[in-house]
Amino acid sequence: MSRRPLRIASLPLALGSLLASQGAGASGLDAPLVGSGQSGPTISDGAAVHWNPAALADIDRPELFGGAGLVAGRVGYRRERRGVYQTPDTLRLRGPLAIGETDPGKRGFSEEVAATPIAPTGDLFFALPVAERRLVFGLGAYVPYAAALRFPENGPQAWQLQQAFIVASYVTASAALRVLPNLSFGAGVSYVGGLASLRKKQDLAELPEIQRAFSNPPIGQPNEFGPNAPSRVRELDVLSRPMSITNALSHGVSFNVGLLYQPSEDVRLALAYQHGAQMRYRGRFALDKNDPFFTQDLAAQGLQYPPLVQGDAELAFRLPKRITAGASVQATRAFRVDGFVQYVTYSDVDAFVVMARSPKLAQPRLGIGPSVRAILPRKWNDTVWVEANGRFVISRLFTMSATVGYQSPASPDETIDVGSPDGHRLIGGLGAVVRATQWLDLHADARAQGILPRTVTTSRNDLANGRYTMAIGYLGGHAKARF
Amino acid sequence: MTTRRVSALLVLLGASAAGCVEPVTLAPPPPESELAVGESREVTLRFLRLDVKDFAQTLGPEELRRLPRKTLEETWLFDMELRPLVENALDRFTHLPLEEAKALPQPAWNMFALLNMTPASARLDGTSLAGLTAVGEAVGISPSRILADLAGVGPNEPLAARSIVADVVLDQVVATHPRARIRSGPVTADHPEGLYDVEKGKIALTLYDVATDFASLSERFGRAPLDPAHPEGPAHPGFLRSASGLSAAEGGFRMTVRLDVNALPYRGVEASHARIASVNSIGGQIGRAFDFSDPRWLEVQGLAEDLSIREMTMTIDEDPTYLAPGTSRDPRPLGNSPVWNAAPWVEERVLAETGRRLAARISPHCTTYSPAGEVSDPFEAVRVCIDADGWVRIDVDPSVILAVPPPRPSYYWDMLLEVAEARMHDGGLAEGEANVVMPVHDVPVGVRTEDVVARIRENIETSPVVLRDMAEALTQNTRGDADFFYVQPDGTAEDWLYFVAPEDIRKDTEGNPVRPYAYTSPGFFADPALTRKVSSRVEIDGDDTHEKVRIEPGDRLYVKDAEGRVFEIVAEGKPSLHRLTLVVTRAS
Repeated sequence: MSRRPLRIASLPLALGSLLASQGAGASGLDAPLVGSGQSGPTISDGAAVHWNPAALADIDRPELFGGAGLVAGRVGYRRERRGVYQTPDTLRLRGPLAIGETDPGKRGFSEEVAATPIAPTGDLFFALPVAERRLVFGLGAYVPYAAALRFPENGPQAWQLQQAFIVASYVTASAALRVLPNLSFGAGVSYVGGLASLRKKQDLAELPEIQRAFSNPPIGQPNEFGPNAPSRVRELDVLSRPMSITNALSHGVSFNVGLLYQPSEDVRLALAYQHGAQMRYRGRFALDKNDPFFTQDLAAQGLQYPPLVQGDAELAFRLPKRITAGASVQATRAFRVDGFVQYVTYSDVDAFVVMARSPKLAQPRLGIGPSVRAILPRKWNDTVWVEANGRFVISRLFTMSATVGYQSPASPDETIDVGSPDGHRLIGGLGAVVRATQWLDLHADARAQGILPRTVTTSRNDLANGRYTMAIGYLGGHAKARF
Repeated sequence: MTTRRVSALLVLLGASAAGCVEPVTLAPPPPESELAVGESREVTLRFLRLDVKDFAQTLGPEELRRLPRKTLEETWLFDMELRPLVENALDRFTHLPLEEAKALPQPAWNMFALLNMTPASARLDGTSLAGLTAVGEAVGISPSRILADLAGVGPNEPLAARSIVADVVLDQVVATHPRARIRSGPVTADHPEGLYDVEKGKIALTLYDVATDFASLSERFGRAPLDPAHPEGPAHPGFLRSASGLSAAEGGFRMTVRLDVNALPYRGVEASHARIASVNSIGGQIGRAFDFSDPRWLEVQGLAEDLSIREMTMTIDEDPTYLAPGTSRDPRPLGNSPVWNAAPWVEERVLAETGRRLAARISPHCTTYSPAGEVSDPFEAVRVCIDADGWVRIDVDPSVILAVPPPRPSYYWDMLLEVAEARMHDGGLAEGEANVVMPVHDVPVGVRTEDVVARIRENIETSPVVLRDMAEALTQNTRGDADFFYVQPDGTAEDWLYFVAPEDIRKDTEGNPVRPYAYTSPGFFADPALTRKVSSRVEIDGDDTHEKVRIEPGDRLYVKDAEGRVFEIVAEGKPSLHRLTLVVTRAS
């Protein structure tokens, strides 16, 4: 068994949760591998710390297992605006729009924009048997989520995302106990650390604070702003403000447990549960309010920001739970098949909630306090990930493997956006292992995954209709040393 | 190493070279140095409308404090009839409880006694009318009866009718105050100096009076030079020492007007630096900003149903010299008292004028008095006559022996003036110390709030421009010192440049223009010599005060700023429907 790109939708979760007011699912780049291409819930290597701690029980010698790789991909998006948009250099607070107030250029498909991220990744595991074939301790540091996206500054996706960088790293301490000759139990406790930064054009029209600020005295104008703002009051120049969240750090705790059962010499059955993690990213936000509309024009009515508002940002969300069932069969002496099915409770992710705090945010006369809370509905679905890996031993020193898999999408059409370019995802990979010495194995893996091109026409408020494509490749190697 | 740093290292594991996200920072500001001759700079103006309806502008205590005094003073609400207030004040004063009156300073007590003087209570000692007492004693007739008959009032009725006193105060003291005759207001073609007449007998009330809780009245109607141009010249001593506390409901006064306007300012260019400035747009829209068909366009809250002033002290100053009553019938019709040459507002003149008006109400008549008791032949011992001119003669039969001579003939007012002057100096007051001071409390203004509101409505509906300064001050979004600004008329995407008018000049915190309107050639020209003007004051959206010109990409214009520098303005392009890019070049 092997590889395992973590669901691509899981990164969107993390990154999306970082996206401030608009929130957005994160990119489609997560770390495609944890461990080598042959790691998995039924595999007894150091990466079992992540996949199934029970599998550590079969490690009979201290093992150091680590590697590095390069992730590269392309996320493409061709936005289709299906709604009616106001001329962007105007400011009508609500419809209907008069003839001449709509922008005929904001209709239909835009030019495609793409992000072509390249990022390194890596992991390191250590397993230490302390009672031969009875008790094994494990320790691992790995990066199940990583993404780096850079879209054009002024592309049609800019209100969803311009740039994003996210890493979620686990440091897990595990223990595996062989409770019966053919049954092992394992558990691990993880520190989950996250780092995220992102940048986008914040459409203030979708903020409830702006809706209230305009509708309540002293401005007192009925308006259509707010989370459900229709397209005709969105993407206006004056309300589209550059914003960033940088260096947001999260610290969380999670755990996993697993069982490994070997009914026969050639068959292994695995069952693992990865608990979710409550993530709370804390960083700094910066919001460009350097438009006279915000800095001076309505100051007498209480609307007056400094040109640049900076403060603390906090994003809280829960990583989903995962239940994985795996099996492997040693079909022949030279050929083995591993597979698993994973059920991920992405429905836990109902919305991304961001809290920005700064005294400079406060507009007391308009009822805006120093904290602004933004909610981006996600309403994700639970997903299923199935994957199979075949391994063929060419010689005593050389093994090859191949992987195919599928992940179902988490994002519904209603909430998908370029921050979480999700879809029916197909996975494929090739790997090789060379036994360099008696104590050292070298792994090389290539892996690719991509979504079937997805066309969305029912995006909420026409935020992110269009055609999504995504392809990700991984190339890397690991070394496994046994002492 | 801090925990945070350790954490950062951990999460960066495996992604050490990952891409980073630049935090949002501000773009560097455009150059703002003064243009050198020949230097060009590009600016892009935006015409952004925020059309608001029922845009409520509320003037509460906080806003009133914030607005410049000049703006408040020039925001006229209505002219208040003073007669009810003065009458009520006099009435309150004359009806003070005796104990309270006794506690007043001597001059006030003297005035209290004087205003309450009746024929029966009149003290004539120290005056020539004391002879009347002698006459009465000689013939057994009460002098109060003689006085009552002469004045045509009952023995216990005040000699001076309150209405007459009020009339005289209004005419002699209030109406002569220089600040009672005119008020400040917006500068218009009809009122180029921003001065407006105030009807006699009224005073103009402004937002400043409301903002100061009417304390401003004492400042305004205190001592004031008769000619504002000569502050050191002759002055009116004023008639209000203090006033405060317009009766208000809980929460205080609040006035709300609702406007239908574009709430955002125009963007313009300060040519000398080719930098963007803002020009308030509300003032120019004020004429069509109100929907008078909607009664909510103006709402006044927080005033008590019947207005009253909590505390008010009226004053009338005495002339520092003694102004003797007249002794001669000539020169007619007033006689020879120097009081008639005194300023109309001095106390003695007020008393004399009161006497004159009282005399005018007395029909010419003669009253004869006989000694008490039975007399076989009717014996007319005393004969008191007043003719149509107010000349009073008291004739005593020679057979009557008097200890002191009877009063000399004189005008009725001279008689009263002599008595009043004597009584005003009771208590040992020297000449010049008997200034009238009348402190009163809770004086009804005599105007109902609903009438006040109705008058304010009427005045503003007639001339919404009175609210211009207030509306501009409330929005106060003029920034910088634009020479011209960019406008797209209602319902069009046409691009027009407007040259600033005097009312566009930025105001300081006191409401005064920060710079003079020193443009010698306002408008837009086709040549750098400024010989061919291409702009005009064509009316657009109700505006006919600005020089304006429609501009299209490629057009070239010239303007001269307030310092006499000439600039070339080239319409470079239209980045979007409501934006206009200009290249500004200093030509000289």
